[in-house]
Amino acid sequence: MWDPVEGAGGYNIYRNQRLPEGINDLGLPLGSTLAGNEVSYEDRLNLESRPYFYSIVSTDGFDESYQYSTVEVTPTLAITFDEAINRGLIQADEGRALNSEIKLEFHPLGTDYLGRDMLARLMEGARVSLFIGICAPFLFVFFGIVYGGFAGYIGGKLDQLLMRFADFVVALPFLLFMILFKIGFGIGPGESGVIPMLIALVILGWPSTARLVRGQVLQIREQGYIEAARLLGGKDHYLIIRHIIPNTMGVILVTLTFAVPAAIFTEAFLSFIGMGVAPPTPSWGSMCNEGVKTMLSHPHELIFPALFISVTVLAFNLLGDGLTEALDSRMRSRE
Amino acid sequence: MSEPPNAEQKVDPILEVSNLTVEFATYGGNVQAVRGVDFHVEHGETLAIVGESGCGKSVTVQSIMGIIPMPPGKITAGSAKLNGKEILGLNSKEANKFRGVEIGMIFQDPMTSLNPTMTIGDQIAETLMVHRHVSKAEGRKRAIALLEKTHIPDAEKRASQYPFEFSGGMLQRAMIAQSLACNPTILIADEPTTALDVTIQAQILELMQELQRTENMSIILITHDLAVVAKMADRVAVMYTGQVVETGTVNDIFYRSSHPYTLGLKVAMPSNKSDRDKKLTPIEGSPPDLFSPPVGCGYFARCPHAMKLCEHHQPPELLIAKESSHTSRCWLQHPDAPAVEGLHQPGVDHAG
Amino acid sequence: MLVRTDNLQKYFDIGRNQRLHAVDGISLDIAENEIVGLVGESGSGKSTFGKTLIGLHHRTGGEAYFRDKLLPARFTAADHLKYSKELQMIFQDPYSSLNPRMTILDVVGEGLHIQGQHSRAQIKELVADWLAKVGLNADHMSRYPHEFSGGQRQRIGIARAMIIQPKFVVCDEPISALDVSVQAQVVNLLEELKQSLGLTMLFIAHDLSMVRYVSDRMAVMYLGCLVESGPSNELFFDPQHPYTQLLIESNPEPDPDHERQRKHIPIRGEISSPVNVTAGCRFADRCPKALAHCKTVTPKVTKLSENRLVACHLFE
Repeated sequence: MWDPVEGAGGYNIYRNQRLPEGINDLGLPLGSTLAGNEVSYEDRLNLESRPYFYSIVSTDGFDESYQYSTVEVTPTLAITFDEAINRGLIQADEGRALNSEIKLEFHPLGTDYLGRDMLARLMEGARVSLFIGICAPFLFVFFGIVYGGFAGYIGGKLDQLLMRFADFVVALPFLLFMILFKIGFGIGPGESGVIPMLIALVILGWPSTARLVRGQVLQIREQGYIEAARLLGGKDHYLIIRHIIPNTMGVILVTLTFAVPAAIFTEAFLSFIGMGVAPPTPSWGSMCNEGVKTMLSHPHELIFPALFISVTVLAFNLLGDGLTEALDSRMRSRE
Repeated sequence: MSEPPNAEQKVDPILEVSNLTVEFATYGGNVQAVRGVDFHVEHGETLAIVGESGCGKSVTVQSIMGIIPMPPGKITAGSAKLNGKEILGLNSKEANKFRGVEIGMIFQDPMTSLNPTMTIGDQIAETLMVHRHVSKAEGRKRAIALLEKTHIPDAEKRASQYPFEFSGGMLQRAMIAQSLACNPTILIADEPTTALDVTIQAQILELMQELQRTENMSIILITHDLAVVAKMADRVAVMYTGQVVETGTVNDIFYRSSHPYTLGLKVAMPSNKSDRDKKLTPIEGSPPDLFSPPVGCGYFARCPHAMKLCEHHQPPELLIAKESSHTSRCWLQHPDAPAVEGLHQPGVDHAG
Repeated sequence: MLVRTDNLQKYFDIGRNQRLHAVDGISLDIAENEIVGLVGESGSGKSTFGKTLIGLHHRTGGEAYFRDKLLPARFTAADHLKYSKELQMIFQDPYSSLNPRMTILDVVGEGLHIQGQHSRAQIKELVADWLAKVGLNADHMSRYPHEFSGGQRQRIGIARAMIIQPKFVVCDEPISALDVSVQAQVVNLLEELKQSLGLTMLFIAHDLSMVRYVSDRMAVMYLGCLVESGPSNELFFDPQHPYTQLLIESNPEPDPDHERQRKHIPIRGEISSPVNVTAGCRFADRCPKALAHCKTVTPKVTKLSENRLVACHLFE
């Protein structure tokens, strides 16, 4: 509210985030009053808890005068008791007087567009991403070992048949399959869709491991120590468990550590395009998706989930690199 | 193969290597692969460098050719003079002038030494095009001629084939043909017949002898097989743990062995002569660690005639016979050393 | 006869109607306490013969007998176990014949472990015993193969085979991958063990001089067929079959004078393919003494004397 100016036909109200330097620098036009005696204005536009500089210029209905006055205001946030209770800011039975202050929670990484704490969502999303990203590879690598190991050991026509089936699975279009899967599973409201996604990743992910393990098994099968063990009376399952599998462990371990970042990234990607876990379950990918929408005004909503994805994937890749190098040097020292 | 020319006709050797020392920086430390190697190669002769795995024979010739990757490898001392010109430590441009041109090289496994994606004819022609600047057509013509020189039947057809279409022995001939492209004065053959059957080996060795005569080449033959040495060599250098332990004519090495290691190698192989059923005498133990080579004689740990002196004092190269420059790096050749049965010790006083 | 084969055949079907005649009718006798040397160049089928004999390959045809008992054409794991105390093998490559992830104790004791008749403590004791017997330090049994040299690994392989105390051992190129000075170590060890355990051996190798030295009798193979056999010294110094003669002549001697005086007739042509072979002598296309009918009629085995056999038309 302000004091009326004699002879004014109305007033224009401006808001700036810093002190205006002149009549042309008054800032954002908020609105006008249309009569000389209307001397109040309510600002409803996106207020934050920071200093604002309001400038009022009197007009005669058409032109503005050359004088204006500016006032600095820092809004205070107010909330009703009921709403505060609703939002969990105070307990219902806490005795509070009007005008008392309550401290809001600290959001270290800010909030999203619905006011949900980013850090909390990221941590929850981590659970989802890591659960899928680690469980899925373990499952499909295990299945790949069994499948590929068996095919490689048996050899012959059965091996060919099994590998052709693996080729078929590889040829399935991944995205289409995921979509069909999602529809097929018919995820209802309230379900997160984590388990179906896990299953889908496993079903489509095992062939590459199977091929790798089969290749290893084929090679190991020809080694002298396998023949020696067979000559000593070793049965098939003994040979596989005692001799073949331990010698494929190196390769399997490396595959695993590279499969994990790939799975995390795939899950993030799928969630990003909306084919992944359903809201409100947070996932880094879906958080990125939401963040894109407010990228210009609130970039933190995009940057943090994207950063988390990148760092996690990088970390696992480096782990894989290190393991490969360590195993390589052990191999070479065996020469 | 006659005895070497007598002392009056002293001609300078084509290749003279002195005190060559090469080491490798590895994860576990510095490996002293070659520790002060001396030898020389005369015109038109075959020098055999013989030793077991790890003795440094391959590293020696590879350093001379300049094909050791120099970050892990380093030539820390020594010189190699080709016709009086130093060839160690050259940059790649200068090295390319003599490598493949004045000195040719063939390797043990032709399958991995030849490019599997080029025809044999193209590979040989490429050498000529790069070094002799001939046209493609001329290169191909000369390639076919070279294949014929190494007695590959159907040379023209073979020149258009890829390495996988050749047998092992045939590929080795192709590789020899390529190495001859620029008329080298020296051919280095690094275990050329180790991977071949004995009948094919005989063919290839005969071919090499024939080519040596017709091309007037010297040959440096690296091998671990004493029988091959006996067949091919005029002079021999025996290597052990990075050093030359004995060098001389082939007769010197076989009939007047002056180093316990040479002697040990001989009695560890079955002979098909009069003592054919005599029990083999192996050399016990294994070669020493080249990360920290022994301060004394490298052979000390395995030598059945080792003396206390040998452990801490490395024997110098002692001259056995001046005319043939037969030398042996062994304290047992010192005039005051004890007599050892089977060992040729002309300088030692046996009366005592 | 301890071991006998009668027209043993092993063919490999390598697709598209191609049949590889690796072993094409070998009849060989090996008497008790004998060392029979088997030589031949690459493609001769000597390794395949050794492996087929003890059941590592399925037999395609013919028979094999141990102490006049017919050996199965296809060995099951149970068959291998049953015969493990009679038939054993020493492998060629010391680098791939030991499982890199097993300790030496496990490697050498594997046979006993599979047999299941000894406790762990007993196995440990026996392994220590045998490591010492082959000239290794028993304290090293907790180490891994990569910590040993080629010669030492070969000894470990020998201990592994011998600990079961077999009667017949096939030595498949046991020294080819070793240095010269180490070869003699392994050969001496094998001879020693043969004496002390009363073993019978089939010694497969391509080093003619070594085979002559080690074995009592020798047999020569070419492209899957036996071309000549007889007492080692006789065969080596008086070869009858043209291929044997060529082999011996090509074999260099570590003796410069001998090499200088030698007259050499180089072998001609390339080795033919063992795939889809037809009748006729396999060596006919390279034989310097081939007769007209050598290319079409397969030679039969002729007995030259008590112990000497040759498969060549020149002697029929």
